[in-house]
Amino acid sequence: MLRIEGLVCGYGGSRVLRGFDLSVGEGESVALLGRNGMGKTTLLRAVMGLIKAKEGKIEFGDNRIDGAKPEVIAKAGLAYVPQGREIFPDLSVEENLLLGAMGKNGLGAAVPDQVFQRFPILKDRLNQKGGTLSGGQQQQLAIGRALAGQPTMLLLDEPSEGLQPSIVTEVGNAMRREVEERGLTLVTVEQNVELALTIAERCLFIENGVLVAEASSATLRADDSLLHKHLAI
Amino acid sequence: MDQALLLLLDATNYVLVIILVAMGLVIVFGLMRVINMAHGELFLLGAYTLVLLQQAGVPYWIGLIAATLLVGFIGLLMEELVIRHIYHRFLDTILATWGISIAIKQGVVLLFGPGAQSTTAPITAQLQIFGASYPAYRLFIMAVALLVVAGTFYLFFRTRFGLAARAVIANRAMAGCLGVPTRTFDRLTFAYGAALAGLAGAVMAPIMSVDPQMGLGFLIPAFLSILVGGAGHLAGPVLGAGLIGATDSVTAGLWSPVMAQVVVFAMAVVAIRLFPGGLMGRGGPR
Repeated sequence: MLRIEGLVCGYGGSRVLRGFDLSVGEGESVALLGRNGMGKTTLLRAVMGLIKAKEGKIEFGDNRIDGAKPEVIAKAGLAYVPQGREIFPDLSVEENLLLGAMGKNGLGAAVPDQVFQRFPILKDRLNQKGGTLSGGQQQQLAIGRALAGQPTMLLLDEPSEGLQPSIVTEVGNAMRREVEERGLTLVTVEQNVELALTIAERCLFIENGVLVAEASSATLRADDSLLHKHLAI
Repeated sequence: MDQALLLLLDATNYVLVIILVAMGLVIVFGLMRVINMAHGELFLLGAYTLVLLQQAGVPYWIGLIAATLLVGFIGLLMEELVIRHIYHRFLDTILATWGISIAIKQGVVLLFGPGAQSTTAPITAQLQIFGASYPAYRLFIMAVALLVVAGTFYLFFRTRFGLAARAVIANRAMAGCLGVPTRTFDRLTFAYGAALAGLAGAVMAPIMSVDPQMGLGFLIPAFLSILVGGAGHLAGPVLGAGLIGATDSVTAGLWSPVMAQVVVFAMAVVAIRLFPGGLMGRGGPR
């Protein structure tokens, strides 16, 4: 579903990704692990069209999307939950969710019920401003907003950042169900190894802008030497 | 009693006219962060479009609609050809739109000459209001201004179009990632602001001297209204225009037009000193 070959990109003259390859199949959930500054967020931003690829190509489905604008990529079925969530703090929960639905499916779109099934708390807070929610609720809103467009694939950047452990588990379970029950394809960037292993079947390790290792989550649970080698734990 | 009533009507009229002119400016400046120095000239183009069409025998009402649409279209061209290259370059937007302003003004001088043109109002009746006689056309202008304010608020705060436009303004990258066509909303928002200037020009043309300098007289109080009221919210300039317009016309009526200018500017300085972000706050770029 997503194929990346020899991707090189960075900011200004720097090269954060230096020939990155990745292939994610339909309905698969993968996690991208690595220390800070290794290029995980840059990769997601490049796929979403927020930064331009200097070399290499990115294919989504049958289409090349490198060089396309974010709105075109979103309409093709890719959704993105950025690090720091970036909900619209001055808009209500309902308006945030509507934007997710409208952006993808046109001004007349409605928020699908699926979002409220996944995150029931959002239904109770429809008229509250996004900025007044707690961190965990904001994360649910950001994911809910992405799901409102009924994407085929979701890019999730650091969902556990700044959240208390019980909420991390809750978010992790919700994402797991979204993959299993709805066949969502998921790419998660995560520092929290436990969450990554819960959400993803396959973990990829990124170091200095290239893919250096990969293993199934089951393997990593049995033998954590790769985790020790590539993450400072 | 009559005198007080007329003063009140004149003050209300002036306030609403400033709001009418300021509204387009507010959308472009407050929401898109572009200081459009050519806003006064878009106003001018609205008035001249009406002049031209009336001379060709076209009825006023059609001229009014045509002026609004034409100036909106000119705004679309301005955005596409110039403005989109200089978003977020604050000083450059002032220089570029100032250039456009001079070009339009001189173009009008070349085509129509520097002298004043005249248009005729579609309504010439005088209405009796509590014994005072007042031109009905001025009441029509007030109604148009109120409609524009209500319509703009409705468009931006009650429709899905407005929701998407506000999302683009609040976080352009994220709106794009959700699939909102950001460039389309830039174009439409700018064109809407321009169209309002054209509408204001055509509405005001029959009661003022239509000459190449006519834009300036309203641009300054409109900018002052935005500074005093704050540009973070559409309601800011409405409040600002209320204060500026009321102070100006009441002082002018009771004292003199010159003192009115002094009082208005003094009030603006004090207001900006006490509320640097405008009365409605959040005036600065966030």
